[in-house]
Amino acid sequence: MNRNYSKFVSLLIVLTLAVSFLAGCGGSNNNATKPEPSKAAADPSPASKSSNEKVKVTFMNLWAKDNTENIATSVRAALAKFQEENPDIIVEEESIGDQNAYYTKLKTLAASNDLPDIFISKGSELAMFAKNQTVASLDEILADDVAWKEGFLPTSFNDLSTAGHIYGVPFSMLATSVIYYNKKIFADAGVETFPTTWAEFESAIEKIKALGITPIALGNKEQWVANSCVLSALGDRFTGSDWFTSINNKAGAKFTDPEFVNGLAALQGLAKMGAFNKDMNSINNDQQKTVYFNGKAAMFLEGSWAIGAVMAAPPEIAENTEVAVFPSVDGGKGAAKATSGGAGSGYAVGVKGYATKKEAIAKVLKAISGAEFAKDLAEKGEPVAYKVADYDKSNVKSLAVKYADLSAELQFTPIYDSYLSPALISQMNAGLQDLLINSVSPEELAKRIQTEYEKGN
Amino acid sequence: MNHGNSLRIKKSTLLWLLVPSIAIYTFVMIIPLILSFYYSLTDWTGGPTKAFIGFDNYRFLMKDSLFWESFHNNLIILLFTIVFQMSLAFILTSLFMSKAMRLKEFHRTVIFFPVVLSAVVVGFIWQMMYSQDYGIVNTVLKSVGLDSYIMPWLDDPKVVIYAVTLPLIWQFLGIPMIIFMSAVQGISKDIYETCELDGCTGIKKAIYITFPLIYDTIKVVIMLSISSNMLVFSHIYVLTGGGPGTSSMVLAQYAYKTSFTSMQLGYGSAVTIGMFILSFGLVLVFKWLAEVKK
Amino acid sequence: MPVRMFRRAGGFVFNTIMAVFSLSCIFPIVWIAYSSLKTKDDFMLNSISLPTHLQFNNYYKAFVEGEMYKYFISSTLNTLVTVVCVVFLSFCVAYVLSRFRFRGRNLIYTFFIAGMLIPVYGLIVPLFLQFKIFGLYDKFYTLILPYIAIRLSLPIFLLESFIKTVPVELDEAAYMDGASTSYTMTKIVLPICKPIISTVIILTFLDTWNEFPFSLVLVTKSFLKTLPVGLTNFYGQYTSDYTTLMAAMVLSILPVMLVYFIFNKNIIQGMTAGAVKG
Repeated sequence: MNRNYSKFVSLLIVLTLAVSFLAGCGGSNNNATKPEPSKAAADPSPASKSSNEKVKVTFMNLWAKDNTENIATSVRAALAKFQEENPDIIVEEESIGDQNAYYTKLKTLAASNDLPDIFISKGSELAMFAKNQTVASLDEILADDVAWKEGFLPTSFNDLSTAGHIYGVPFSMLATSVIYYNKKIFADAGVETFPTTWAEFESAIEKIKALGITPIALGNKEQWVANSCVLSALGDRFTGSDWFTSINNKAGAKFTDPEFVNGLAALQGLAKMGAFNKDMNSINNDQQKTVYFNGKAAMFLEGSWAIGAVMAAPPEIAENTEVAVFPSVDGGKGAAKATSGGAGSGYAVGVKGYATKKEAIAKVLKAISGAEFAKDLAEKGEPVAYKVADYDKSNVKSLAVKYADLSAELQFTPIYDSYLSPALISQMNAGLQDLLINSVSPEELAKRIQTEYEKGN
Repeated sequence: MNHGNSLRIKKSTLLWLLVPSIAIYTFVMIIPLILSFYYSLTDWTGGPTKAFIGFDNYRFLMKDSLFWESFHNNLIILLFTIVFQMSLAFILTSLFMSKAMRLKEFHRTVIFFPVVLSAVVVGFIWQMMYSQDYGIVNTVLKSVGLDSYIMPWLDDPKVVIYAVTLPLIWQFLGIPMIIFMSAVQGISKDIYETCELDGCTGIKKAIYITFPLIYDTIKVVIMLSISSNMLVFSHIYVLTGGGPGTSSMVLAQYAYKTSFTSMQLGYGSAVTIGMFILSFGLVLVFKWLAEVKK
Repeated sequence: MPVRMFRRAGGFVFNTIMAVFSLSCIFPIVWIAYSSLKTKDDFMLNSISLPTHLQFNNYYKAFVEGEMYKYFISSTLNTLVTVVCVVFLSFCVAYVLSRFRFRGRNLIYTFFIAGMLIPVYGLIVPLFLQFKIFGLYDKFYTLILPYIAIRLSLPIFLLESFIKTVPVELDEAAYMDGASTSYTMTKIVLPICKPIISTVIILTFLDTWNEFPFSLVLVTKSFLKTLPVGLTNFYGQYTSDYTTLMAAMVLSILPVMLVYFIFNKNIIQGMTAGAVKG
């Protein structure tokens, strides 16, 4: 029995190792032997196949099936229409409504070079996927249809390009930092117009505090809010966009530069003077809106995507809500009429799918980003990434009009987390929570971020 | 204890009984673990190439303050859980033996009930409990006039790790309690009766009889506690996401973050393996301590 | 007489304290349950008060509009199959490990028990690769395999120590009468193990029912996804609609509660020897 048994055990060990080996190498082989996107694309056979056979295009997105956001309904409408017109292409959707869950799955797929044919990705993740050669460069399909490419706003590809190649197609143009404020509370506090200088801003905050109302509702539990919705815009006031360009190109600028440190200090200053609710690091961005909707806060900072939610808020809040951006700061190098913004996210294409069904993918992409889609979205009052000449403005809600007026005179500055590496962002985000509760100084945090930044070099 | 028995089994039967489990378990747990170890020896960041870098990741891990801070947090959680959960469970067990206690079945059912909840539900419940404005904790404090203790419980880096431990103690209190209670049932009634004749009170009975007699059981419970508290992740993730900053970060979340947020899969695997080794080490150290003490 | 009255009063105080303690243990759940019947605004106004009038709109929203019913089917199937397999497999292994001496016995025991220390998220990427290579990805049976495997350790641990406490003479007598191994296992030992198996069923059921990462990563088709993954969609959208969220949570724990109350009676005896002797 013993001999038989040890035989069995050794067999098991051999099997285990064999399978590990297979899986381990299989993984790297998958990646290593994967064809160059351009070469595979030149291979005509899959394209001819697609004419008589149905092609499946997988599409992974962040919008739960019953999502009622404008962007989700517009994309679904465009897809439904596309399916009618193109019975030979089947778009298979997978929707994961939770950001963290979505990116966990996406990165698992990326690690085994198995990204969906079309998926939504943030710029920073996309840059990483591009570096890993798991997403396809879309230069070629964009060049093949010049009208489509030229239709996009010229800056909308910025967030989705790396090393001179475009990896994503934008679907909307967002400001990530908009100040939504309740003009009634401001008036009650004796502030008639939105402050235009930092000193005025601070005094307005003091006055609102005196009313017993939280000046700014902040929900930074998920850690990206303070970065995307506050610091990206506030930091730029101090540093100017050239500084960030230099950071991004690794051309000499440092996070320890005094301008950036001043930006961090200004953020911490707001926290120190009690501008935020005390539980800012344990509620999330939906809950920060709830605080504002209950009239317990005078402002909240979030991207332009929050317009819809504000419009759906109780009327006494929705009607009194105005939009603004940060006031200018003394000695800041950044433009005053600016806020962080861009495409932020876009549709990207996995290399495997691209290699075999390029045409089908391109068709789907055009349907969910092109003129018709953009017009539909614009008519709902959403900011679009595609030039829409004239559209029916009658359904655009008042706050969206206000936002459109505001954004018309704004220039967009880079959203930090669309460009910096995920590792750096994760370090920065955790640090910002520390900064907000005063457990790290701006200088110290700047040093930490710089160290992580240099590691990535 | 049965090793002296005369039972014999056919080799083929033995294999048939073991092989399916071993095969599934190996395929799902062991091979990925081996692969993980292999990844941990590379600088893989999800790309087409992984360069073999030997034990560099582990060298870095030794100096990674965040890793050790997370481990430290795990230890705090573990310590507090063992101390409070166990003593509470032990006290409850002793009380359950009292004849004066009514509705035993009801109490047992209710105290064990939270065990069946999912981490997400527990995290949500406690987030609401701690909530600044709607939370029960602050509402209660206010109603009893302890306004000065009102605080955002999850926002103070000094308090947060204890605030996230409490739900864990609460949820899993039922497990050690049930185990202790059943262990006590196994103790012969005669011992207690003899003791009562000698004039033992409830407390003395608990200390001098119950405790020594269920010592082995306590060891088992501590082992289970080590294994579950070293792996704790979802509860804290839902409650605080590891924040503020990294003050409530635990090992499992750190491994998750390096692998899935930053996509440093090589290093993330090293964190995973490091965590496995630390847990295993803790179990061994504890086993050794428990033996020596005896 | 006074002594008895004093005793009674003491007993009363003691029982009251116990009741308060028990209720405070279950209060958070009771709170969620009754809050789920309030309107959002009612809840915001006073989070602790009882609902003034019951309204089940939140449940409708969660179950129908939130499409929770879709995920119930897949969750139920996966969980039931897993529970049956885990009970069967862990009983086989535990029986062998506790009854027979053979070379490698301790190795196999440690091998299974070590599973209690393996962090699941560390397995996802390699496991995904394996499933891809072997074509096991996104099939109706995909989740069952990992669900069984990650649940094996604790049941083996509990069952092994329980069976050890069952007098070995029972088996010996059966063998002497010429019974086969399978007969002895299923007809002699298994009935005695009923209580611990109840425990195993409850724990396996709730762990499987609540499992998240594998269901997220290993399947793509929406009808294969389980409830916890479905719930994230829902949570994401209703983050601040607390009362609807609470309704969804109550719905998601109902099946586990049901199983708990069915098998609860046996659990104490189950744990008795299960963990006592280690």
